[in-house]
Amino acid sequence: MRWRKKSPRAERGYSLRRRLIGTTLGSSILVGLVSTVIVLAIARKEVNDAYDDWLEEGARLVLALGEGSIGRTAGQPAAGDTQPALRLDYQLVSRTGEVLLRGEDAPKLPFVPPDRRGDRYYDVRADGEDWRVYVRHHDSLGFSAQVGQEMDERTDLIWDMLESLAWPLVGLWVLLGLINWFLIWRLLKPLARMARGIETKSPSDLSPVAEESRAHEVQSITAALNRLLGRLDHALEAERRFTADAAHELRTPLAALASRIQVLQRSHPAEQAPALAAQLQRLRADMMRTTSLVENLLQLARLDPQSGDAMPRERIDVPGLLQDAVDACAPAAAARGATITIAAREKELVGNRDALFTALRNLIHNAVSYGREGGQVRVTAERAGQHVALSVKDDGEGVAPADLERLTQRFYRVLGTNVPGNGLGLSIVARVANMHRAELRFGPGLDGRGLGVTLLLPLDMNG
Amino acid sequence: MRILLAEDDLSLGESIESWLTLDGYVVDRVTRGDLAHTALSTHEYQCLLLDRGLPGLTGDALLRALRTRRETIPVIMITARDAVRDRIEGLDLGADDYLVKPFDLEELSARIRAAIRRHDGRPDTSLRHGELAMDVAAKQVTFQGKPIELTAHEFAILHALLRHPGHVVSRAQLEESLYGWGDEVESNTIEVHIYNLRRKLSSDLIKTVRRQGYRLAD
Repeated sequence: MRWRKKSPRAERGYSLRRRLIGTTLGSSILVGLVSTVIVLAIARKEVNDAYDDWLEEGARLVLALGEGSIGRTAGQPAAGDTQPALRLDYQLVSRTGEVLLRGEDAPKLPFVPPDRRGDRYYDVRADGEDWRVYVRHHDSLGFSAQVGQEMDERTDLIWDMLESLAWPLVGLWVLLGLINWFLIWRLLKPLARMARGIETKSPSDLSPVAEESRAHEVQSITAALNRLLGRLDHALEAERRFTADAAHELRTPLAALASRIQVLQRSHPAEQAPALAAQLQRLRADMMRTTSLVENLLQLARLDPQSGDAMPRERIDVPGLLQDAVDACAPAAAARGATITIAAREKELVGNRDALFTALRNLIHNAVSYGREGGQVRVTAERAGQHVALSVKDDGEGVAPADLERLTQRFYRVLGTNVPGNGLGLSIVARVANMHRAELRFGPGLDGRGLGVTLLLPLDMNG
Repeated sequence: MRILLAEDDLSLGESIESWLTLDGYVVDRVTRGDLAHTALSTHEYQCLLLDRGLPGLTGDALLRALRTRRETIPVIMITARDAVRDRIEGLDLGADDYLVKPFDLEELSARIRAAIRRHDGRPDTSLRHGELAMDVAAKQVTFQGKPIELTAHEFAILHALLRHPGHVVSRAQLEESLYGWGDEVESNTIEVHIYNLRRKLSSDLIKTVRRQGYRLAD
C-alpha cells in the first residue's frame, strides 16, 4: 500500500499563492488604470475650462485692440505693441469675412464664417489642425474677434501629465506586488507547514498534526484533519484488534476440539475400528487446517504496520535461519517426497528473525505443496548488489502470469490446485517484505520451470 | 502421579483430563484460580497445568504466589497468548514450560514427563533401581531384563516408589497418587497392590516400614 500517492489532479492544479498574488496585483493594476483615466478626464476638463476662459479673455483683448487700431490706422495693426504681449492666434474679421488683423501663426482665412451670430466657442479645423475657437462680436463696429488655440496644445498637456503620473504609478504597483508577495508568503506558511506535517503521516503514525497557526481557517482545517486522523487511527486499531482478538478467542475452542479428537483417536485405535479411525484422521487434518488459518490471521495482525515500526532487528545467522525454515517444512516435504537443498552464500543479515522465518517457512511450504510430487526445492541466500537475496525455487507447474499479480492478495488462491491452504501465506510474506523494506519478486523456478520467489533485503537496513 | 489441571474452558479441560487419565495420571480439575490455590494447599501434586486467564485468581497471580512461597512444583502454562513477549513473561513468572493453544496432547504428555523429570533431577526418561527399570513414557517395566505386565494402579505405585528410591513413601501419599477427588478409596487397596507387585516382581523388593509406609529395598 502506497500512502503518499500523488493524485492525478495535482498535475492540473494551481498555486494558491501565485493566484492570490496575481489577483491582488491584477485588481490593483486595474483600479490604478481606472483611477488614472478618471484623473486624466478631470484634468482635461479643468484644463479646457481654464484655456476657454483664457480664450474668452483673449477675445475681449483682441476686440479692444481692434477698436483702437481700426480707429487709428485702418487695416494696419500696430504689430509691435500688442502682438508679443498677446501670444494668441487671433483674427479680427470684418462683417464681410475679411481678416483685418491676425496673429502670426493664425490661419489667413477666418476660423468661422462671419455670418454666424452670437458669442460662443467653436471646434473647427483650419490649416490641417484642430482648433478651439472663441468668437466675440463687436456690437457697434460689426467686426468680430476670433481667438483660437490648437487642440494639440491641450492634448500635449494631458500627455505630459500622464507621463509624469505613469512612473510613480508603476513604482507603486511594484511596491504593492512585493508587499503582497511577502504577506501572502507569510500568511500561507502555516499551510505549507501543515502539508509537510500531513506528508509524514502513515498508517503507522496517525498522531495529530501539530497546530501552530493561530489563523481560524488553518485551525479549523487542522482540527478537522486531526479528527479524521483520529477516526482513521481508531478504525485501523479496531480492525487490528478484531483480527487479533478473533484469532485469539478462536484458539481455546480450537484447542478443545483438537484435544477431543485426539482423545477419541486414542480410545478408538485403528485396530479396533478402522472406519472410525480413518474418519477421525480426516477430522484431525481439517482441524489442523483451521488452526493454521487462525495462526496465519494472527501472524498478519501482528505484522501490521503499527507493530511493524517497533519491529526489533537483529543480526541473523543466515544458514541457521534457512535450516530452521527448511526443518519446519520437513514433514510436508516428506509427505510430498520433495527434496529441499540449501545454499547459503551470504552468512549474515539484519532483520527480524521471527518474521523472516515465517516468510521463508511459508515460501518453502508453498514450494513443497504446489511443486512437483517428488520434486526439487532450492533455498538460497546470496548477495545481489546492495541487497541480500533470499530465494525459494521449485520445479513444479509454476504460476500463470495472470495469477502472479494477485498472489499476494489475502485469501487469493490459484484455482485448480488441489492443495489445502488458506491463501494467507504469501500475503504474510509480502507483509514481512514490506516491514523490511524488501522487494518481493516472482520469477522462473529451477531449470526454466516452476516458480521462484525472491526476497530482496536491502543491506543498509540497520540505519 | 497426581496432576492439578486449572483450565476454565470446560470442554478443553475435560479432554485434557481424559487424555491424562489414559496416560495413567490422577487428574484433579478446577476451573477457577482460587480453587486451584486451595487444592494446591491441601493436596500434593507432581505437576500443575495452569491456564493464564483464569477467573477468581489469574494464572499469573497464582504462579507468583506459589513461587513466593518457594513451592517447586513443576508448572506448565497453557495459554492462547503466543507472542514471544508473553512466553518470556510466563517463563519469568516461574513457569517451567509454556504451551500455546491449540496444542498436541502427545506433546503435552511429553512436556509433563520432562517437567517432572527435571524437577526430580533425572536426566533420562527411565527410572532404575537395582535390577528394576521403568520407562515412564512407554509405560514399561522390566525386572532382571524381563518385561513385567502391570496394571495402571500397580504401575503408579511402583512409579511413586521409584521416584525417590530409598525414601519412605506413606500410604496416604500412595493413595494420593492413585485417586482423584471423589474416588472411593478402600481401606486395604494399597496393601492389595503392594502384594501383587511383590508377587510379580520379587517378594523382598518392597519393604514395609511399620506405621510409616513403604520403600524400595536397597
